[in-house]
Amino acid sequence: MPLDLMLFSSKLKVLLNQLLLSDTEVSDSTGIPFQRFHELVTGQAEPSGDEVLILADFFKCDYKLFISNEKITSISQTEILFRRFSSDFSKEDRMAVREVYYMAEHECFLQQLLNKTLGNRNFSQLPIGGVFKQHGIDGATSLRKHLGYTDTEISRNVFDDMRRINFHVFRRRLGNSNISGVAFKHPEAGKCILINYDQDIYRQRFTVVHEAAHAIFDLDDQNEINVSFAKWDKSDLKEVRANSFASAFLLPPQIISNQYRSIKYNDDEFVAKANQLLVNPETLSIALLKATIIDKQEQERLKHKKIPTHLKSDAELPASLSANARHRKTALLQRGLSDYYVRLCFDAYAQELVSLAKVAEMLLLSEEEINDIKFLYGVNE
Amino acid sequence: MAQVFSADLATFYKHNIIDSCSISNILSSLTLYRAAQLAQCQFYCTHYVIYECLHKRPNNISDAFQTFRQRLNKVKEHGDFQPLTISIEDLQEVEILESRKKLAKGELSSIVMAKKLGQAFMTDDQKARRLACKYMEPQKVQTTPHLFGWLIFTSALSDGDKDLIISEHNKMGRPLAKVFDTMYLKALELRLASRN
Repeated sequence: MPLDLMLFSSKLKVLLNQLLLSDTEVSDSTGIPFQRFHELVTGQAEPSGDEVLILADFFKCDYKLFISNEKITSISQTEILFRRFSSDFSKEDRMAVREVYYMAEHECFLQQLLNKTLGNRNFSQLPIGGVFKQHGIDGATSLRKHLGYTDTEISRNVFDDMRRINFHVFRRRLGNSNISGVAFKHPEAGKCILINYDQDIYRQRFTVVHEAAHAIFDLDDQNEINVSFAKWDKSDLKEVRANSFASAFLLPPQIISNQYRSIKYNDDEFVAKANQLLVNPETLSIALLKATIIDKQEQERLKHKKIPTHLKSDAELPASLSANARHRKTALLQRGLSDYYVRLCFDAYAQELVSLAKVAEMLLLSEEEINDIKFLYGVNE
Repeated sequence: MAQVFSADLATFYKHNIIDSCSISNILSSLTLYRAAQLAQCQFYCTHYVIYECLHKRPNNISDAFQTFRQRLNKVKEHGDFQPLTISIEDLQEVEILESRKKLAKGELSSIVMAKKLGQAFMTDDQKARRLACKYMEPQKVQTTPHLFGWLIFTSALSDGDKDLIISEHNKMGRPLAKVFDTMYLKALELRLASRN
């Protein structure tokens, strides 16, 4: 099939524009001479197969995207994202989003290849009535039931909970700390959630559920992306709904009414309780205020209490890890490499379904780094 | 990485399309590389593999990796590891398209080129080797330990060279020392058997 050079060139231009890259930067990073790259971008020359592979590697996309004459791809979706929020995504953050798209596509591929998901329990909820806050509460109650939680049980690993309903979840550090999360509908992988790792772990727990609410209620064929910001518009009803969903999922009213109504506690006990519930003191203070257990003045005072970072629990970094393993796994998480995704890659490798170099590609690591990670994950030949 | 396998150490295809992992292993020991050159082995790679080895920016660049890059640039200047180019039509082949999610792009481009030229494909990733055997004649899928064993068998490498190669290989942080030891013994056994 002959390659449509103008379409190829337009895809390159879109990627350059999206990722705020110049011809010189791509030429320097890929070894494709500047003049040659310019000819490719302007549709004056046909790329070789090697150049297609190099560009696919550099731009973190499937090389089929370049050699097919299909127009609708994941890059048109990120085009919408970066156009709508152009000033919010720095050059580095745009590449981070591109990498998350790439990993989501591979996570989906590996799940199909291994016939392995965390639960394969699709969940949907239609909003009933016109009160957005109530949609959130009802949705969270249904999801908790769907996942098998009792009324007073807390979710210890919300990231895996969202994977159990077939969402692809990635925690990745973004430079813009005002972006708390992104929910998007990947054309191949389905619904995905990106959480900014820059937030503290309990905030990330809130964000993943908040983004899940957007994925459940707001993502459809017309609206494929939602970005949430730390500073948000209080009149935005979708945000109100997502927040009430997250609160009701993480701290269902029954937990508050059963365990806290008659308890009088001092500040240290309050902080310890929040930590037990894996939420920040502010979140617990709001729940207590809503349940009329404390008044506004007390809530204002309690919300500023802090849990020391080292005491917070992260299900993806269990306490059983050695200091060295924790340090290395934290570095992987910051780059979007969840334990779940890394293990999928190594499972496929163990079953001889993919090569080690392919695992390195999927994990965005070099051959040297992959050997180190193999050791960390106890992978043998 | 390559493990001990049933390669015929008495034969070795001298013209190889090689992937980045095998280039790293061959150039980890200049003693091994020079012996292969003297035995008239020729290594070619695709432009993509050159990109991986020389242009792609890893998250961390170790001293060993810098040394590897210097060595590759130098041997390229002398005409070895010359890059070859695959076409878009090569990538559009159905079986290559279907394998693109199981093999790395360097492996894929090397297999395409090896098939096209009817030459051997050299890789030290044992799973890539097994997957490659599905797409081409299995005897044309070779590894660095196979090359090493063949050079011992043909006496192109001496007993003393073996220890030097392993030491040079280890210094570069490469993982094949044990396999080289096993290949050495296999080559000696084979040489002895062929004399009887």
